[in-house]
Amino acid sequence: MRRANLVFFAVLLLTASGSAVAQTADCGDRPLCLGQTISDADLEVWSLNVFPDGTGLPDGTGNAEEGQQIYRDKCSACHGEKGVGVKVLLDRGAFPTLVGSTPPLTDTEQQPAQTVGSYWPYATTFFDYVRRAMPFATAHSLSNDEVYAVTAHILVLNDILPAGANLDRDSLMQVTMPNVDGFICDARPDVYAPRCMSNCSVPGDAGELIGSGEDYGIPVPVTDCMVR
Amino acid sequence: MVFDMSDDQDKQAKSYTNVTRRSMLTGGVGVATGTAATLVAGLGAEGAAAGPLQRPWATELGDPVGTNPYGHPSSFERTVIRRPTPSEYAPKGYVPPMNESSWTGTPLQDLRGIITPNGLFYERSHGGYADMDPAKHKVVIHGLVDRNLELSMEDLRRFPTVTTFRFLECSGNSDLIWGKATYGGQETSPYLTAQDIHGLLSCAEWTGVRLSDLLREAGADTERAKWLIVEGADSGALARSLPMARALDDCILAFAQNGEMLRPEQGYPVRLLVPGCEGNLNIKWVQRIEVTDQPLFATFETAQYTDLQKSGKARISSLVMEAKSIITFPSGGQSLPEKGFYQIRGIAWSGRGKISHVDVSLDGGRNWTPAQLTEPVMSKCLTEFTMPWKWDGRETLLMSRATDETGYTQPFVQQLVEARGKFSSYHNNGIQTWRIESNGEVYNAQG
Repeated sequence: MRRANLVFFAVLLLTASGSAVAQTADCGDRPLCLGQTISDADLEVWSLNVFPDGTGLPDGTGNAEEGQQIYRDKCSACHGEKGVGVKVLLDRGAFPTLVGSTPPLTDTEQQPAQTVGSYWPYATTFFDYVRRAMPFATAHSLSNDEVYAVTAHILVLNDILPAGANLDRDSLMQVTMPNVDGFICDARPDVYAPRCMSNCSVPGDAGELIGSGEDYGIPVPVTDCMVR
Repeated sequence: MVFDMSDDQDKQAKSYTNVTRRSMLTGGVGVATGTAATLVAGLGAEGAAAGPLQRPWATELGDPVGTNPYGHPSSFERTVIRRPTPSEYAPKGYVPPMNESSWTGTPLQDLRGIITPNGLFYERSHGGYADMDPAKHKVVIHGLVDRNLELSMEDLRRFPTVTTFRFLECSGNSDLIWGKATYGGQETSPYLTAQDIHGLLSCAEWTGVRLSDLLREAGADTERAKWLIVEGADSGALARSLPMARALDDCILAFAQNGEMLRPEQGYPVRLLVPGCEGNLNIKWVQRIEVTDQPLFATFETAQYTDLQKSGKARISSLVMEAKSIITFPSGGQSLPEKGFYQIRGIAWSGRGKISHVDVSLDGGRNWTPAQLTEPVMSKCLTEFTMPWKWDGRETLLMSRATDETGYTQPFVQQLVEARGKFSSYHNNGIQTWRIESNGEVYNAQG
């Protein structure tokens, strides 16, 4: 209200004085007074961000059974009937796999499965991504209810929710993803390579030291790290 | 000879992605198919038959001035283009299923100096790229601010501008040489070029407005707000969490690149530039900045672009691109026609500041010699290095190694694999080895 009054007052002033200064009205302490102010209500059409604490989750509800139907129609062509990505051409990779947890993330022989179920830290991340970017070729076409439904279906396929589960803001916030504790802050520099100039050791040499970055170099800034 | 060359060259002749400098430099060696080799042969015949004053360009007028209102390179440079990773030399399943979510690499081996021409700047998109009408494009800043601001492109361009030289590198760059274990045990191809392996790296002069100025204009609460959620206007509305400390330091919203407005592939009309940090964080087509006290944990900072360690834990927020260098001549796919003098050259860069040294080894890393750094040497920017060299005609293992102003020295790839694990192929800043065979042909010897 205060802002609206100020705007009104300032417009009156500009009009009355015949000023040619083309500025938006409520300049206040703005250094340059460039751009237009926009109300929180006007921002709603823009807002997509959904945070792990649930901030940004919209009203709405969806059921896993409905989600299965939507998934079949709009997602399975790429991600497969069971959430295991489809290969389209012989010499190309598959679309992302959404379901499964083998090989496990600790496997050192085979490429670990990094799926929604085995790897993604928060259910909000999945909701946020589907709403902002999926279906791949027709983004921003699903309703909020449909995004809840598809999220429920994928969580059911990953054995994170029981069959037929409903999801809304509150129930989505109750979901704990299996890999929620699977992330650690960047720890680089993580190896030490001396600037050796002659008779240096190389990989494969007996006794070649790999080195550790722990006591070496400037660590990455702690302010970079996303923590909850 | 380790490789079956006839088979290789047959493959090259069939694939447009492999009309390489090898065939340009050695038109008389091996097969003479493909556009480049034909051009070399043609020039040779012309030169022998006619003196300088009888050549067509000496006896006829050239094309009228203005023939190309927006100029382009000589037709003889037509093979110097961006290219996708050649699927025949990549591991099975490496090339993404659709070109709308894919990449092309910069032909580093064919460029000089440190600036990437705009048409050759690497591409990486997750939902294709649109050519957005700047008259309809708005940038909104909201959240923990005194006022939500909506800026037109006209508004943005009225802010004070800065111009900086910065590299951009995809965090997945050079993952092809992380080691064969990463991709189902397949051997890394010796036929890969610098472009194939390291091409998701480019460098430009960027002009734009300081993010700190925009935050001040919106009255952002920079004490409480530690994050900015920056979002693109593309079909994936790609979003990432940008640390406030970086935003206030040296981030800009760039609208111009190398003197002209951004190309659509680079986020026209406006993109985020986070100097020294992985490409994905440098959001293109910026449309919205939410000022918040918590990060988003978006898909591209959790499900992807995180670094799975052998412990099973994954490093998150691995933003910095550490010190790295590669030799671009001689490099994979090129060929030395004879023994004698050559100038070794390459590029080095660090996301932590300036390059202080680049060393070159001609014996697989036993002994190293400092290379000459070409001025200017700028922070978070490519630096060119050179070294005079006489090739004795013997097999040579060629490497470069960068050290930055923090004292960090580029490690061997094997050290990084040992520290992180076989399946952690993002942020590979390890040393690239090229092998020059006694016939002068140069191959990838890494991975």
